[in-house]
Amino acid sequence: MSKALEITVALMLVSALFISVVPPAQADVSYDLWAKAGTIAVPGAPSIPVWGFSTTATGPALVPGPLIEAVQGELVTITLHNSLAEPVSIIFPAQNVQPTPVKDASGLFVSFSAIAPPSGMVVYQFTAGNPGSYLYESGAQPQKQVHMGLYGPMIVRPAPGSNQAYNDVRSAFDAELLVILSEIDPALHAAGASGGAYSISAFQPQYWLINGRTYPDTVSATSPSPGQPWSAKVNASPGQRILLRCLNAGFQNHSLTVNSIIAKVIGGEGSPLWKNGLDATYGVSSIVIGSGEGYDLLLTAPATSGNYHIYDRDLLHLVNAGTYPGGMIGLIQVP
Amino acid sequence: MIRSKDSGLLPGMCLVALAVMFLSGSSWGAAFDLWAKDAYISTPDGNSIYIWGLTDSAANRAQLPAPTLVVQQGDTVNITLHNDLAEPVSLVFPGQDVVSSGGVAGLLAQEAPAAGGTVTYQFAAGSPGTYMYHSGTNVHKQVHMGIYGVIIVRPADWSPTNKTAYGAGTDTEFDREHLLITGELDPDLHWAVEMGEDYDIRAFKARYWTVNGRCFPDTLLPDNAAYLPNQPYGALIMCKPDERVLLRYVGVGMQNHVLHPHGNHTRVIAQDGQLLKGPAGEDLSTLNFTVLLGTGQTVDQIYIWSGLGYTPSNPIPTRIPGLKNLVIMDPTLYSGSPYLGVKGDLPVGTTSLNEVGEYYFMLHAHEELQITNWGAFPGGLMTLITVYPPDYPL
Repeated sequence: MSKALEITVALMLVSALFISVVPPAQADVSYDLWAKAGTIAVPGAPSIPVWGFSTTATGPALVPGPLIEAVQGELVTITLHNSLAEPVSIIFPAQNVQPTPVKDASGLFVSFSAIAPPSGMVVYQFTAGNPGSYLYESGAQPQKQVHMGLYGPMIVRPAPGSNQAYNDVRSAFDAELLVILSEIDPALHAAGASGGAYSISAFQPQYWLINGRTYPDTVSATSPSPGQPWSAKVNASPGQRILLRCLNAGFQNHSLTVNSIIAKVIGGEGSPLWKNGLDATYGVSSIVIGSGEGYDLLLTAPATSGNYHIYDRDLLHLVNAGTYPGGMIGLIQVP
Repeated sequence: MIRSKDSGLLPGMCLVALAVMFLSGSSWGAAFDLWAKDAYISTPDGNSIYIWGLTDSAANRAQLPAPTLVVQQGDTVNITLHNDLAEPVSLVFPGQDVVSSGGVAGLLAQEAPAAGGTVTYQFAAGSPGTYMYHSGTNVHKQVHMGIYGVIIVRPADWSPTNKTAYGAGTDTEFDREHLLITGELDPDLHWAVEMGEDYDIRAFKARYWTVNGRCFPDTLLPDNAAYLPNQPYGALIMCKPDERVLLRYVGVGMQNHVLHPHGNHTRVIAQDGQLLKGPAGEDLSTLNFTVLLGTGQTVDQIYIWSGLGYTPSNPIPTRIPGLKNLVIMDPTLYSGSPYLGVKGDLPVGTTSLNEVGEYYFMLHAHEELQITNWGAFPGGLMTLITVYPPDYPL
């Protein structure tokens, strides 16, 4: 390592330690996350290399990363430990976090926020903002690290254990489901894991995922690998209100659709559509969710029992390496 | 100039599947029979592309798009699908609560088995609006191959003299309506299906883009043109100043499309059949120039060409360059005069297709590649809006 970089890294480590020893005024929620390498499984490819966040030093890399949960106004402390060979960081879009971008000694941009160097750590601290559904993701080499799997969901609740999405009784739900969208280009994942040349311009996904799995694993109670603990399936009784917290962690737009059901868009990214006395919520059959965007959808489980699939209406994304059905298909099941 | 006859139904799509009315229990219903078949369609550059689609007669080939079904709020709709293709077929009806009978269970819908199987779908048309219907089987293939169409639900108080999209008091009155269904064609994938070869959607590369199953300039041709036997719906929009023109965009294909008309904004009044009004009737409509029509979405808009206060007695003085400084295509749609309803001078030898001094505006996808036919401009996802002089008998 060059002398200049050594000094830079040493300064980072010192500053990280300095932040962590300041006693927080109110340590409401704390999470330790390890950024590490791992593998996940999709039909036909049982071992795709990924990078993911783990909740312990020795646990599996999880894709998506663990759920960060907080109540509006609580102090959130995230300690990021880096088990990878390159700097990582986390950004918290829509949260009130002071940006601290990092450049290297030659002035080249390294990260949108403070980094944890390899084998090092960094602490982030912020006050949880408006209730809602958010993504957290890597801010260092995001075109590689986010695609490799370094992203996860954050939910801010209006009150502890609340069954409302926002500070509004109209946002009440009986069941909620995170719907986190992403894609995998296995060639790029192999390049990223091996440390070889990673050219995002060659991006050509072969797999499309909800909550880190492709169909049919999305609707299975069995995890295809220890790194994929979440299905994309929710059971509901007729008339129950289901909240779909949709977050697009991928690099493509996706047109989310629930078969046969009109869902109501009640807000997104912490911003409810009930505002200043105006009810601006609207019904959709299909909603385009751009890369990085989030929408909260509230729907009522129909009276007729059956399988109501949640799927990407971009029909090219319903395959696993070309085989249908696959990809971005989840399920609301009314028994 | 070519024009479509306003039949009072949906101009630009004369061939509406005729509902067989029947009495079911205590309410009127609407029943349709549709056959899943194949056919060939034409593109303006001379290509002939194999498609799958639906038709409302056992004797016909498929049409692209499928027959437009027009029903009324409150109808109980029954649709029986007859399958003449060599693989199972089904239909899904976004926005409708469907009960199926017959057929066999599929992933997204009950299916009609191959080679003669049938299945029946029933739903109550509870809410007025613009809805799509399309295959629910092997969707990455069958929707792209052409098994898609539109359902229009008229409001309960609809009448030809009281035309609204969503009923009285919804501010959705219109003078004319047009249906614009967007789609794409990858001729290599269609060829693979025709030849019985492997269909790999990963190789999807659209070369043609369509409105109502046709590529520009075929979009301007009449409904039921004899030379487009399997593409019965045109997309030419014709109106007069200050008329409220209801445009129903339907994004039933494989790609998102950003669309806009020239000549004015549109007011987006509903999407996916959901009226943009709050619970107390608050106006949630928006005035847009460009609309992102996502896959699986319908968007209803009102377009009004108002001409900046134009009236025949207030023609807005203008000065145009001398003829020698104008570049005029041949043939041209230009009348030779900038004034509505007036024809003027054109260079000697120029052929003008202009009829009575009407205006022409494009309505098109703004992703420029999509307004070509395999790269040749103009083409693809484009049609024209024609504004006729107020005294013209449209």
